[in-house]
Amino acid sequence: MDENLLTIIATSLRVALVASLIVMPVGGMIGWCFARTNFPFRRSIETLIMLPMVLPPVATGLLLLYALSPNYAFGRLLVELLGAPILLTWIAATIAAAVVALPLAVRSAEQAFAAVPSRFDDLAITVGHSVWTRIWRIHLPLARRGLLAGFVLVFARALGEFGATSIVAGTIPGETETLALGIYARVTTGDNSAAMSLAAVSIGIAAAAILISGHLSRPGSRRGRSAGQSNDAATTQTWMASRH
Amino acid sequence: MDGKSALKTNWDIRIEYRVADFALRVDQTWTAGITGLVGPSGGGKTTLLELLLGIRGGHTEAKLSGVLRCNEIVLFDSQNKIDMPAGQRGLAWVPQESLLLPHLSVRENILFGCSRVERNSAEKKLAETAKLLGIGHRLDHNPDEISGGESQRCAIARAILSGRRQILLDEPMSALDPARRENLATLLQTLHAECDVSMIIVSHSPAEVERLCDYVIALSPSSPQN
Repeated sequence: MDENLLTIIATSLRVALVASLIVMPVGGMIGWCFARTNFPFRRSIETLIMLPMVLPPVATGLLLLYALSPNYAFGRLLVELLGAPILLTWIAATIAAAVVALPLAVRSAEQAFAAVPSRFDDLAITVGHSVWTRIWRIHLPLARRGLLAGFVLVFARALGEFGATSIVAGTIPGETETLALGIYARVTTGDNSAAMSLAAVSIGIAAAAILISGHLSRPGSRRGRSAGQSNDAATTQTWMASRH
Repeated sequence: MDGKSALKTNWDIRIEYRVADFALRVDQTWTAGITGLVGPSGGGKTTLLELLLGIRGGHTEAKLSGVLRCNEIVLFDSQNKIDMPAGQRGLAWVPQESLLLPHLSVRENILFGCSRVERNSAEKKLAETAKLLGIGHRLDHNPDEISGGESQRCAIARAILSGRRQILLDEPMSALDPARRENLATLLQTLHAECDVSMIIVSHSPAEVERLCDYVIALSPSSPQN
């Protein structure tokens, strides 16, 4: 296999995996709050978090460009923490992918946690179990399939991210060139056969992600149907838009 | 069984609960070992149980007023703005649907009813209690490997081992055939005597509770009065 192709696949997988590992716990916590609690300004916060899902990704990228730029406070703080500007690095690509995939992580987690029957909480409350015990012993185990399915979807979304990534990370071979950026770069230079190879890899990874997510989302694992109780919480998102 | 030495609990329930087009009024003070709550569907039996447990908080438009006391301990008093948290009320619950967590074994489900402090002592009594309830051989099984009746007895074991001495059972016999109902009724009487617990049992069947209980409250549905 072409060495460039392998490098592009490795960069894509690294960016998507790190972004998913960052965004899923954050999205999980936010999704849990949306599913299991009521709090002030919920609608406003939800709107803010869901914005990247409906905004053109290049607009998200533009906002990130300002946020991460060393000319502004947050960017300067990152330079101080990391010792170098992060724009045009794989870290910037990862942040862009994470921000764009966050709404998907939140929605997946919200659906997974909302599907956990609240009667289990009632039982735990009468025993005096804390909210942490309830999360650890009830919510996470019963929502695990939905959360895993969400992780796969988030990973696939991060893998396909283009608009925001191209703004903050550019297309630097071996550093920030992901599958989506690589396809675009090759099409613009007329190298259609290389672009098709990258597209084929993208299709393979996306199809695998959809299959895995669909399998995990399917309700009715043997252990999840006991004694007339609800199945493991699962998500059935079909709205993973790939907006470029 | 020595019925005279079995635990009795003093209940003082003087409440009015309203939500949408449903109203529940109870004005009773009594002392009993096993209390029966009977009435038709929609009569408020489960609602009263959940009000006692402190888990009836889901309806923002619902209004509860009055007093709930158990052995002189105030669980709820609207006038003095007392609403004891559910976990501190000292009441154990056997829900109608058993509520066994599917990812835990029967043993872990039973111990789930204990706080961290009570867990050690509950583990010591687990085998004996499970044997008494006829589920000793099921402790290492998953909930989907046991029958409905066994699930119900797991839920009862969970309540017994929680260390709480007042157990509220929501229609424990509703899913059982007549023979198993008879067995469970005998078992509940045995538990009342041997495990030093008192009970409130919700049932559709007046005959069943009259035979099993030493005090019976009949609830009927009513409309809210303005």
